[in-house]
Amino acid sequence: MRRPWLPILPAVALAVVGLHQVYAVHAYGLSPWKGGGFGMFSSTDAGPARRLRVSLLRGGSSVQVDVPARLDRVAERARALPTHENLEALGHEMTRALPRSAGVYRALRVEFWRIRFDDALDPTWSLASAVEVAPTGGER
Amino acid sequence: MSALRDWLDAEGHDLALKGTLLLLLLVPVGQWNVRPLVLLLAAAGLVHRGALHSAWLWGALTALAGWRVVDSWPLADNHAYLLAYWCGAILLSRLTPEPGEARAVSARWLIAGAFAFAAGWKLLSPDFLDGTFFRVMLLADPRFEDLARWAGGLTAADLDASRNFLFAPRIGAETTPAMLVESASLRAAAHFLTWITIAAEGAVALLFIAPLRAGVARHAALLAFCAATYAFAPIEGFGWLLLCMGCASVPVNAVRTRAVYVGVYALLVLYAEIDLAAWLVP
Repeated sequence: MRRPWLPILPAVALAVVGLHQVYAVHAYGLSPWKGGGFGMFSSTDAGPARRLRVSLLRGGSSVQVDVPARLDRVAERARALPTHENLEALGHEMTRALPRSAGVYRALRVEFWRIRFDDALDPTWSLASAVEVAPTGGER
Repeated sequence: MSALRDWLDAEGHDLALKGTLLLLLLVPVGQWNVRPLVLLLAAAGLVHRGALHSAWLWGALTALAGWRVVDSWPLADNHAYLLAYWCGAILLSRLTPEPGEARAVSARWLIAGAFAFAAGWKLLSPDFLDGTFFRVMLLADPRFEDLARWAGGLTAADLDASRNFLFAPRIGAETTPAMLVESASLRAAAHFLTWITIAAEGAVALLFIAPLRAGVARHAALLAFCAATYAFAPIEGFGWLLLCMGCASVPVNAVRTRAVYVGVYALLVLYAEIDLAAWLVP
């Protein structure tokens, strides 16, 4: 066969992407199910075991707000790959999407929570990372 | 039987290409910006022999499948990546004097790579090895509810309560979660699934990596994996893709092996239409 290396190239691409995914899982908290490393069905660390919590900070208190459906994609990306940039991107989108009725707030806080199960499957949620985003155009 | 043999002989290396295009019609992929073009190209390749062998068609499919992965990174499922690699492999095979042989090499190493990573992840995940993953999945994933009811002897209400217990938002402990209902038989099923999955995926990876002269064991392992896994896992698209690649790696004169690939491909069509697990639950 001429150019015998040609048919190997797709598998080389698979290996490169797969190794990058392993790195991204350990370095950036990527879900093992995502990123092309074939880690699906290998861990509970996916889907409902990852949660975002968005709150408006007002003085010393905070009020939890829902992520609107039109930001599902941004939220899904932040949940699968909860880097500072992705959580911040969700925060910025949220500040733009908030209705006027949301009122005045100092900052918007995006938290990423993760679940761990013990032997009895008793779940423990822990805060893995969080960012705070100032409202668009300063104090609202 | 001789008609089937004649058909398989006539199809030759085209069988895997047609199977790939058919799966794109059976499970349309991508969003609005990708799906219509993929459907058009798949249909064109199936009805027109020239299109089936066109580098342009496979180049376009590779670009669309690749774009789907890049555009949604990192959210695409693993079979979206595998589809892009496989379409790319078919495209590259057009640049070689023996496209069928080139595809056989690509398919073998893509299957070996995918299964090696899949088995590796499971071996490196503590919550998979100790059975936690399958216990949680059987209790909480609605896609496996029938299997959990059959294997674990649980009711739909038990599973609802367990789902609430496992994933209730207890951040700040605002709620009192429901009770976990887990039977001994469900734990046993979870441990069985844990080890059979590692054994099956590891076996496929090793057999496709090993330099075997006769690939009967290799194909038997992949066919058994697909026939068993996709009876319960509702992701037939992945199964069809693996079967197409497996079929492409079969020598063109091994008609019986390719006939079994066609049979299991058809079996997965039945799985997609008939909920086997639901039959098992009274």
